[in-house]
Amino acid sequence: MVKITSSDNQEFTISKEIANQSVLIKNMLEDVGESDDQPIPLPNVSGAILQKVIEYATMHKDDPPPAPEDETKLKTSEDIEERDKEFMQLDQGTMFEIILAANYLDMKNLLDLGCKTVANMIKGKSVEEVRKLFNIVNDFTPEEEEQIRKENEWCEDR
Amino acid sequence: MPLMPKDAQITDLPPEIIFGLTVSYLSHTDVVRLIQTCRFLRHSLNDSDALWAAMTYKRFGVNYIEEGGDWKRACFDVAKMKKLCPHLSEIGARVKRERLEQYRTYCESVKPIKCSDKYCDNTAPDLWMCMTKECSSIGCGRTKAKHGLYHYESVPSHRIAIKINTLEMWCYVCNKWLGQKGTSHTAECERVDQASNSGNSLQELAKFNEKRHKERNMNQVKEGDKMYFVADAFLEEWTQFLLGNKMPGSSVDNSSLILPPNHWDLVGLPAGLDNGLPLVHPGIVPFHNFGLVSEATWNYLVEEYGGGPTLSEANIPLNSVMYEPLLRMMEIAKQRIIDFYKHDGDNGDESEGDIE
Repeated sequence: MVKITSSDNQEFTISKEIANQSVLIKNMLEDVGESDDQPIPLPNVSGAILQKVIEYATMHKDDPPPAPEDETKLKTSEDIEERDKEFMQLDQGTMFEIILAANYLDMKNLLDLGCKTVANMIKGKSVEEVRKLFNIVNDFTPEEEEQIRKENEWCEDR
Repeated sequence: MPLMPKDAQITDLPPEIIFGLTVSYLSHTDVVRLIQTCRFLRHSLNDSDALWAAMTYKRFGVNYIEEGGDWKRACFDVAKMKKLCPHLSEIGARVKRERLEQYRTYCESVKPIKCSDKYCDNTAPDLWMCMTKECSSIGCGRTKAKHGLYHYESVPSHRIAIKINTLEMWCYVCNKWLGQKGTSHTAECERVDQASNSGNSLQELAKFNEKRHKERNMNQVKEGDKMYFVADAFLEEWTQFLLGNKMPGSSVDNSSLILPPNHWDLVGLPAGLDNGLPLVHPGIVPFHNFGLVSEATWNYLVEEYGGGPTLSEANIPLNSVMYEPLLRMMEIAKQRIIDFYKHDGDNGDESEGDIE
């Protein structure tokens, strides 16, 4: 078993196969050796988010090893598993924090899942809809906005 | 490291994640909208060549454009990008160097280069070398035992071959010559040129390529074109030249297609035609004794290769029973040429398409 602690000092004890889904933790374990039972500090992830990440890793602990990536195959965000879709039904704050945590912990599958989810939210939306969806403040000056509009107005298929 | 604020936002994601998810999963039109939302997203996506080159590759499978070209414009220019052979994208500089090095080794070896098929003895000129990385196949052309084509058919990912003696490339998927000056897009020409312009000994072989490129589409015929006769002997040589198997041939000699004046009475026109032109022999057969070309092509051939005489529909009498079979065969031949190129054009357009 492996012990990890969150930024807010919550301690979690997880099995090694779950821990190894994070390349960051896997490498740390290899560095410190098996015998050390000091908890691994994860100062960039809060307990609440770590809880969700462990939930994801537990759900996927029996997954077959990933197939080698096919360079010629185009990536798609339409291939999300049903259980992952359910897992990602979160408020936006938690969703972005999970993406950041996956990036920090080096968990490729979870990071991909997060990115696909965000991409699917953006797809086909207008500028104004994207701003509204993500609470983005339009911080362009009117002059900049006009310039950007001009720069992109020809961007239609010819 | 401070804690993430509880309500993390899209703008808290590192730029490389935004860039990655955009290139992986979003379309070019989504990108245009994203960069207009706010400074952060515009900055993350960096509205730059790198982004648009990636989006263009994703959309069209093409990773090259003309020198100084604008990747963002390319990404939206469907008409232009569809003209480019996407399979050329796989032929990077290293692969080209390796191929040409191998080719040079072959040229300098004692044995003549021959088809890789062990039971085939075909040698140059009609040989094709596979351009795929680490493939050493050389196959003979379609005018011979077609081992080049069979190589592609047995390994369909080996799509591009280079003609041994002219260093011109052919794509088996797009079913076309690549980088043809004057007809192919500049981007494709530049891409192919990078491959062939290396080493003087090789350039010698390819010095008539430009002439080939110019002449390759000349046997096209359009509906309203007036038809001109070209004797088969010339056409045969010309075709071999266009295929890259021979040097340019000699002048056009149409004299065999003419009915000698002392036979004019046999076709009921002892005085010849009203327009004073020589009469065409009524017994000649299209694709056997002669071929048909458009007026523009005929003028070009006379200018470039010399010869004559000029023979067209004007050398055939109207309303002559003797000439009816010839006229009918010519009509069929013309239609066949038109259909052939129509079909050819269809093939070109159907390549890959939008692979999004």
